[in-house]
Amino acid sequence: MTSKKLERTLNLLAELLNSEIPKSASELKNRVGMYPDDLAAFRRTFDRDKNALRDMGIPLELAPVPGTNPPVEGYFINKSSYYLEDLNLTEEELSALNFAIASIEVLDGLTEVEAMRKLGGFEEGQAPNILKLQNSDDDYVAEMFDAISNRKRVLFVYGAKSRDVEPWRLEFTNGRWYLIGNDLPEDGAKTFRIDKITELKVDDANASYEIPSSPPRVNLKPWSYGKGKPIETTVRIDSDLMDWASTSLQADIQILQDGSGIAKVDVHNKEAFFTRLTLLLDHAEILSPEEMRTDYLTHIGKFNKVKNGTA
Amino acid sequence: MGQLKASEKLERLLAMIPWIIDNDGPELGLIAKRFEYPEELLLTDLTKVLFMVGPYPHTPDTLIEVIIEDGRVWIDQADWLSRPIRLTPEQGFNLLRKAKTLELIHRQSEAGALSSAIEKLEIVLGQSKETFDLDISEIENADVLTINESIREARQLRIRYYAYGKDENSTRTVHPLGIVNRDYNHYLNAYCETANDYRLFRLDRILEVEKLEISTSIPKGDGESYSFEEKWNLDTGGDLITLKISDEDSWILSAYPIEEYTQNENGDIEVRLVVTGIAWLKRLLLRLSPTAEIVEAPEHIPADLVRQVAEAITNRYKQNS
Repeated sequence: MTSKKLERTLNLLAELLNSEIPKSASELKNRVGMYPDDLAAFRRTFDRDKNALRDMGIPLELAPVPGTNPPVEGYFINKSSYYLEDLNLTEEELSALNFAIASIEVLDGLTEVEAMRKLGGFEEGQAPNILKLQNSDDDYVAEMFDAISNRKRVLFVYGAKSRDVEPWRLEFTNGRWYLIGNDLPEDGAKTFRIDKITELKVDDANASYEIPSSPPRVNLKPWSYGKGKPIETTVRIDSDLMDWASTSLQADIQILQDGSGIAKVDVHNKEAFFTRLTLLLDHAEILSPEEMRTDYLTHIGKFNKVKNGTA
Repeated sequence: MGQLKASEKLERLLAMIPWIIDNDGPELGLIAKRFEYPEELLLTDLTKVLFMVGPYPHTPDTLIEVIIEDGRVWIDQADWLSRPIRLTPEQGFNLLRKAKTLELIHRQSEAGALSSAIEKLEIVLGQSKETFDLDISEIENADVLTINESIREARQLRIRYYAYGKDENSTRTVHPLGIVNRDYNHYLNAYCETANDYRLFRLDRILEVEKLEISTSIPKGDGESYSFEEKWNLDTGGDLITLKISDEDSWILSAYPIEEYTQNENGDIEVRLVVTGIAWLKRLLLRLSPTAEIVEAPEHIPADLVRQVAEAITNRYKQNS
């Protein structure tokens, strides 16, 4: 950017940020005083400047200029959409954020250096690269994040059905992003896998709803799906599979003196639980209740009876 | 730091002006470093460009005032630029995501300043712990900090690893190369002395980690010459088997890498796939319906494998009944 162009773009921004009402292109031309007189050249230059501002995320809006007849479209920056609220970050906090963005790399993702500059500058340090995260190839994650930030309803297609949802919570678990929200008009909490969402539209007109103080979490434990009283099932796990079992069953495990462990799992759906338990092969055993032991043995017994293969 | 592109100059000036206003005459060199703006260019742009900026009518009382004295910079009459531009949704999302990820790796209690920064960010972004959350337990449990220290310092690691395919724990000395990401999981990419080859170790299956005081000495062909898929195969072994499954088990066609499959007239499917280990196959068979059969396999894989494993499970229950 030549100095002249930089000066002109900044002066255009000065006009827009110091105005309470939309200003027409010709008025901005006169007030900035740095555009070419030729109309075509002015249009080209003005378009480039507008694009430069928009590319930086500056919310340059179009709205009718008051008092014009016939109506003339003018340019306007809504101050509440432009200015970042003061975060009051201490130098230590800023440094911690700098360290975080240098430590975690998002593959093929944006760096947050520009964001850090907005917060008060980025001092390039020697932070170790701790982790490479997969880019959220789900294009809609950032849009959902913004919809939650601004309490905006979202419309999308999920499972071949059109949805109208008040988004409540964005959760990353098991390597994927999920949205939890109020599914209108049925009015109930639902979980949606973001990468399965298509045709997302954010409804700018509906910018107010309450998010519950404790929205439901993503539940990836199929054995817990169901109503009624769960069967509290106690499982003994051999020491060699302890760490892995804790992840697989998503349960806290009480470690015994001999190194084995005891997990208590609430089960609504027996079949789903048995399927998961088989992953532990003969390294785990249901201790109680007796009903679950018996039913699991019946489940396993089906495989005891299979005929030999033909290999 | 070379010259800046047009858009970079504009972006950096708009970010630095609020900071200069807030910080009562910071040094020019510090501003240049903090906002990655070549110092000479910054001096020119502050004195020759910014000095000429302001709203109409561009009289001295409306133009930005830049004062530079003894290498320090003050900016006045720029109330309209005294606050930075809001974070874009992508910036807010990525910043919070990275900060929260690091906070979890450091197990929160050790992340004081980061945690308070996250709280402030959450407020400004209209988020909270209830509306934006991450579960990266597979990374948290794997002592990723020690692994990274070893990668950075080029030190060997001793790891205790649970091999899912073989259903066994083993202790190995490895020469770590890096942490890689595949299919929504994280892996340690390393040269393994036990295997005398490169291997990928899934982080959530690394049970213990010990950094050794021995430098890595990775043999020629540092693993990077393999394509990822080839490395994957190196890790998984490669027995090919053929299963006969019913239509209700056809989900495995999309869940695993399949070599080939054919559907018979009666609806049964014969599917040929790579087996990563006996234990892996046992688990797979227990998830299929009991009618699934092994129809072709290497000698060391018994055709009645699923019956054997079902019997082992049943025997355990019999012993403790």
